[in-house]
Amino acid sequence: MSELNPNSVYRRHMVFGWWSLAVFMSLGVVLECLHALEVLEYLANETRRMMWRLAHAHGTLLGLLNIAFALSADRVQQGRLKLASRLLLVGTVLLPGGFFAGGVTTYDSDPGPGVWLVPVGAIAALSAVVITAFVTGKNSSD
Amino acid sequence: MEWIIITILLGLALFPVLVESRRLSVIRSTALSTILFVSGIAGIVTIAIFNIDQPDLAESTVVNRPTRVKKDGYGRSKRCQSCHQSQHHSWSHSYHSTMTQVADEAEILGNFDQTLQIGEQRFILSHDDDGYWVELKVQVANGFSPLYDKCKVVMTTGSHHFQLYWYTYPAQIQPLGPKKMLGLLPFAYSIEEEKWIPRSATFLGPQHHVGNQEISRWNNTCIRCHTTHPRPHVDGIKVESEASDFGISCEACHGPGDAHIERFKNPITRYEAHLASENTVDDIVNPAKVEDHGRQSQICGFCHSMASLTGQEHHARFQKHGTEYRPGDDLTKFLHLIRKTDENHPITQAILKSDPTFLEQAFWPDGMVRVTGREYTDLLESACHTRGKLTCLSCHSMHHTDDGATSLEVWKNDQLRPDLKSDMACLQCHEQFKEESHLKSHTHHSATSSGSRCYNCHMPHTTYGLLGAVRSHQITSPAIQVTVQTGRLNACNLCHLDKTLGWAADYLTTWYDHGTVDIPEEYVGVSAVVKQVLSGDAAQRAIAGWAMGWSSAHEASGSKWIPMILKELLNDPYEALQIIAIKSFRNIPTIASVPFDLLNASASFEEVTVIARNMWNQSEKVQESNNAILINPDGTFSTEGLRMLMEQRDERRIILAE
Repeated sequence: MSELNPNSVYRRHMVFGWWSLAVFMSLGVVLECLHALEVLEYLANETRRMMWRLAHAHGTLLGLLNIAFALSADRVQQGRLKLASRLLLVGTVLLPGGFFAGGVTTYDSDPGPGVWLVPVGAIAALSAVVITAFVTGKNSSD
Repeated sequence: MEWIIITILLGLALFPVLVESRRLSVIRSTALSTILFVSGIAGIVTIAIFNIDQPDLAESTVVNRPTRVKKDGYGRSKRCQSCHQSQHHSWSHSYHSTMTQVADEAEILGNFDQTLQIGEQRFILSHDDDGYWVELKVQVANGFSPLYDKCKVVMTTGSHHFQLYWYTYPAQIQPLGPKKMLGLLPFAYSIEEEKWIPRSATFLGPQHHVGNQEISRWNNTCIRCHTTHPRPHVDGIKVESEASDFGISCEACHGPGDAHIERFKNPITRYEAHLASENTVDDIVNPAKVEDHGRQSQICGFCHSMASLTGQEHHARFQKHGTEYRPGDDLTKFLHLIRKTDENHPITQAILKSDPTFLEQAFWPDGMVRVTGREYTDLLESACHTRGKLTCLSCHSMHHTDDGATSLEVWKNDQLRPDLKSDMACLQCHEQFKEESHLKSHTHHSATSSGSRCYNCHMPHTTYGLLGAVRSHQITSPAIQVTVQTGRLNACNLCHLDKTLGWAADYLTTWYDHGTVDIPEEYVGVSAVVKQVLSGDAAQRAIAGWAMGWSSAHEASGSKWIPMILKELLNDPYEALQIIAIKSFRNIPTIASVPFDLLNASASFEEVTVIARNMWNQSEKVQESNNAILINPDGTFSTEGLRMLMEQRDERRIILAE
């Protein structure tokens, strides 16, 4: 695997993390507005409420995780840095995005088909975390 | 929409991975193994939890009440909750769900810190950490003596208007206890009044203060409609009653759920069904999708009808195995639907042999049901159903849809569809009356008047129930001839309380070309409602007495003149009629503040008479001199007219058991 400059990883995940925070905290504000305005399409659909709340929460937390990853970039074993970075980006898009898409159309307690993206994103994010955990602090030669 | 979002998300997420995919082989085997291991464990745990269908151990140890036992594909409603949350939520708030409850689980509404007495029987109510108790004592020469040990209250019936309490007998009472055979506390707790009322007073009947414990009535009768998939299992004193669930739960209307649950446990199967363009195979019945409108209504009709099981053989099978009827089936194969218009049917004739007055008590002479809870029988006599497509679900919904305007609390009172409030249900077919001008020319009332509401004329309050009058579910049109022939008040006079039958007949002739009606002598010159309150039989007095407290009628007729006539019901020999009078008085300003004693209405008679005379003098109607409501030409009340009408009272024995 070609090696990646930790600085570029740092920059990418910092930008991605902060923008993820911006997007999904904004979603939180939108959800609060939906409550304040008592928008029935949101309030009366328990599945949609849950999906969008999960999108808000996961998106925000994954934003923080990206920032943490950026701060750890220079301590991650070079050989695995690029893969972990890619998987974390995939997870950050698909996990909250899947929750959001799953709430657009709902079938009683079943979310829409968008929710199928969630396990893909979850595995990607989890993989990134596990890989990072394994290789943080190790030298490339380890 | 969601597919566009999904595609964009996938594109955004996978692009960088695809670029690097040729290098994926570098994933360390340990990391992959860990992920697979964790995912696998999580999956196995999920599947295991999903597949666990444990027997209800708590129920299997119960010996002193009927139990909930899974059978024939039926189970308890809680298993539907995980997939159908909103439906389960609104159902669990409905009175269907709490029709039958286990006493130690239910919120017992009655006050169990008191003693109730009927005749020579005294019921001492109490509760402790072990539950709720009833102790029966009977009167002896020097006080009251315990008849037997305390009985434990184990089940309740109802949570809307009344709550009833069932108990099992202590071991010393042979051959009754302890068994799954239940006895009834002969008092009902009135939720509205927050008061205990003798059960005999909650039905329209001449019997007073009867301490009947109705032993095994629940096991033999109530179980059929107050539980889901009931099996009475009553063989003499050997009683092993069970049901799949208590109350009218999901599978009462949707049929057995086992196969449906098994099929849709698999999320892939569920999404195949969600995304399919056509209906996929399902093992559950959705009443709203039953194409035959007759069979759709029969799902409700299984309980909401005047019916009996078809023959001894079916009855025996029902005792052992429960009903073989499944929602969507032809109900008439399992139940004989008793109709006055089909009184020669052999099963009806057999019923009449054992109870010759059955049809007379349960139906008006023209075949309309006169007791509540039998709405499907009424529907069968309605052209809107027989010639049209009207079903129960045309107006009602068993699940609450949040439209932002109708709360769950409001909906659960009558379970009307929020989108079909007021005239909307009728306007689904009778679209022409959406036009205000058409409506006004049809009703001859202003469009906003209660006289322009479809149901006030076509579904008037002519059915007795719950200590009052409820709307008939037989869709009819007002006809004075019918009142003359059946004695049933018509919609016009139920609202225009101060008008005669002749007055209403004249308008119907003018407006709708009804033929001339020969008004019987007894109805000439007197308001139809006044006549029936004072001279009618008990069922007529009940409906007329209720109408005197109806706010729409007060708008049309005034109310200040009413107490002088209605007060006579406070001394009525039927306890239920005394209570109806009190409830009507509570809707009349000034007199509503009288502290009536529900169980001793006549005690308020003198006080009410004084107030009624004062109100009479203030009544604008009194200025008009109107014999129809007993106003003398000089504006005084016609005591003589009242006496004459009271002397004509129809004293026939009436029993309306709901």
